[in-house]
Amino acid sequence: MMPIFFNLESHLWVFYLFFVNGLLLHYSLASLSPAYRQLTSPVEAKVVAGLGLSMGLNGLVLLSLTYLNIAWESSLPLIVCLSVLLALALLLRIPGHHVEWVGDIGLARVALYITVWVLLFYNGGLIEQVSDAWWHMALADRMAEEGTLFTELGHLNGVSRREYPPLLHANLAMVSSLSGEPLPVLWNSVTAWMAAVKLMAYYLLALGLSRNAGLAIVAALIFVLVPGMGVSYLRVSAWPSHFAYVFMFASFYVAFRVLDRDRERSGYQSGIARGIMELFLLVRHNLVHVVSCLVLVSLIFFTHKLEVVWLAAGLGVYIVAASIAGVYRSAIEPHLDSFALIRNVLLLAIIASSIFLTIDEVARWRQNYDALIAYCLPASIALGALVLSMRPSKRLSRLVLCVLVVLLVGSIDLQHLRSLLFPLEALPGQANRELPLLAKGYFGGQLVVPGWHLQLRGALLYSGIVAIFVACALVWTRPNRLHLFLASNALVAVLFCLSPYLYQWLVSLMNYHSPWRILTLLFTPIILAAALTQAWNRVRE
Amino acid sequence: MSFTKPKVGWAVVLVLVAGSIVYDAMFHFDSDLIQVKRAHSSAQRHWNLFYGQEYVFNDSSIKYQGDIEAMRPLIEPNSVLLSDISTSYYIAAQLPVFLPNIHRHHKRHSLHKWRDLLDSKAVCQLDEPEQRARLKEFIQSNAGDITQVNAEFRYMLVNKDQDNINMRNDCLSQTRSSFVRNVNGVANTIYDGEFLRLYRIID
Repeated sequence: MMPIFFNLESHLWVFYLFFVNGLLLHYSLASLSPAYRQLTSPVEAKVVAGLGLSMGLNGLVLLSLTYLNIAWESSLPLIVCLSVLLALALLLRIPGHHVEWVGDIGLARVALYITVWVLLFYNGGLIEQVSDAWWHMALADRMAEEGTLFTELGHLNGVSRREYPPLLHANLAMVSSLSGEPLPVLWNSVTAWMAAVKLMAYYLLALGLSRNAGLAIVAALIFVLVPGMGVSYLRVSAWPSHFAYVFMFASFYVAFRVLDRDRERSGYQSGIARGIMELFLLVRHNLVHVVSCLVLVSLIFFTHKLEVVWLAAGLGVYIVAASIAGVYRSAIEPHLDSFALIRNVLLLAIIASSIFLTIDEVARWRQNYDALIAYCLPASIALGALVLSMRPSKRLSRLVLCVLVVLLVGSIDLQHLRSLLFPLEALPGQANRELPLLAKGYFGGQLVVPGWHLQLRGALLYSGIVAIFVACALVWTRPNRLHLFLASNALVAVLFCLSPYLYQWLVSLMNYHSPWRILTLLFTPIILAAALTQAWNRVRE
Repeated sequence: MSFTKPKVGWAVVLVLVAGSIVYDAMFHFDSDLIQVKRAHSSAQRHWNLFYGQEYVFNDSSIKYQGDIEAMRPLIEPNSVLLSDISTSYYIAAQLPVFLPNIHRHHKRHSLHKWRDLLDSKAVCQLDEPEQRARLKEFIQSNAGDITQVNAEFRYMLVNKDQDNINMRNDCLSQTRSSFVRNVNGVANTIYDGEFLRLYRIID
């Protein structure tokens, strides 16, 4: 017979160790810095800050104990006592009038977060299947048993060791050591908290993009409802990647907050010097935001790493798109001058990576000319984008645009596209269904595409497909930050999944087993929320 | 509110987008989907209004806590323990032992002798004399020891839980009665709990 509240105590421990100290530190920082206070004025930002600061602090404490060779079991209770005393001291010193204890919150948002928390309290974490959750729990247990962040042995069979960012496992090990609660119970409890926090972080992303709280809450609601990419698997919220998603969404929020702030302009007239100076002034004028972003990126790096790539890709795609759009239409971002430098660096980096791959994989493309095209295609697109950004003549612009469209559309594998709707037409697979499918290029060479069965079909059918078309329509009718960010990332993400040439380039460059997760950049809930709010406002006008 | 052409157009957009959201969201409220996914061992990654903690409680190690805590003082740390694949992961998350019976993508093949033994399914066919002899020879030759970490093969664990759906994942759990019948002579029972029975290899 299942005890009704078998996990109640673990929830209290999770709340304490994952949020309390971080929140107190957050309030201390907020009392010292008006810029930080403003950045974290939404209550969601406070909660995410509390989580990040707690996890970071816990990680630093355990790292210190590891390096000093101090046993965790004996020292952790003492450290907790000290931290409680320190927290009380901080709390008493915070000038109440300088701090927004709760801040900007609304009933609808509170109701949504509580509902999600209750739903996941009841549904629980995904541990009833022998999934990778048990691998992670075993690693956390080994850390707690050995009292070290860096286990030298393979934690399952003693032999096969895999490098994995240790921050989440360290935090779980700490909670387990202190509370005595078994890891499966803790994992089950963490899921409920992280589902709500992930939703809050997604709200922040939507808010930072749109500057519209109503749209952001609709996006958060849609995030709970539609299947989406793996980010929205709420029962998987205790996985390290989902912690990283929280910090990734928050990083986007901070980045867009930087763009919203007024800043100094450089006195330089043009060129690289101006770009560098603008960047320097941007950093100097937004130091708190930049530091916050760096802390968030560090948290991502030490939790799961990969999301740093998607963060950089998402911002990079937007910067290139906004910078080029600003050349032909009114500026999307008023303070875009430094973007030209960033845009050029990004495009040159893509070209450089293609050159690198061409040299590195010479043995492959000598047998397979399609692989050579795959390595050169992104470079060609980047070159075209560079040409467009220089504002050539109308005729040349149109020619370059046509060539780019032909290259991109021509690189799509139509059978792979059809198989999205008709699974029986799927391209041939490999022995392991996690490996990419095999496509043939124009010259008969072998390329790869991601299998739709790997979370992608669920993400695209049907709200994902609707979102792609809606995003294109929105940016065509009104090219503002929100629409351009959503549309540019949606198109890039889906093109990489449809084109064997682009996907081959990505696979060769990333050396990672799941580059198809680039579809994370299809922000379906925000796209649909933007369409709904705009349509609703137009109908009511 | 008057209905001009643009307004009608936006109303259509509103209906289409809302319709796609409602259609895609329906699976969260489908109680039948739970049983379909369980029948196919498909992960229930999304929330479902009709899903509950009883699935998590019954199909994980949460209900084995009493047994696991009782076994803890009986187990020498950094030993090797053989069990079915699901129970191996449950134990890995809570006790300081090494488990050879794990998923392939977690590099099970790194332990060649264990891989050969487990792939042969000898431990699932202990009613056959030659398989019993094979297991005995495996134990006596110390082939189960993980020399890289000085870990001796000391324990075997049987999960008696009939209700845990994961017990059908591995022939070791499906043929546990055969295992229990034939393990005498190579191992003694040192703990027999509500769900878990622990054997220690006879030296």
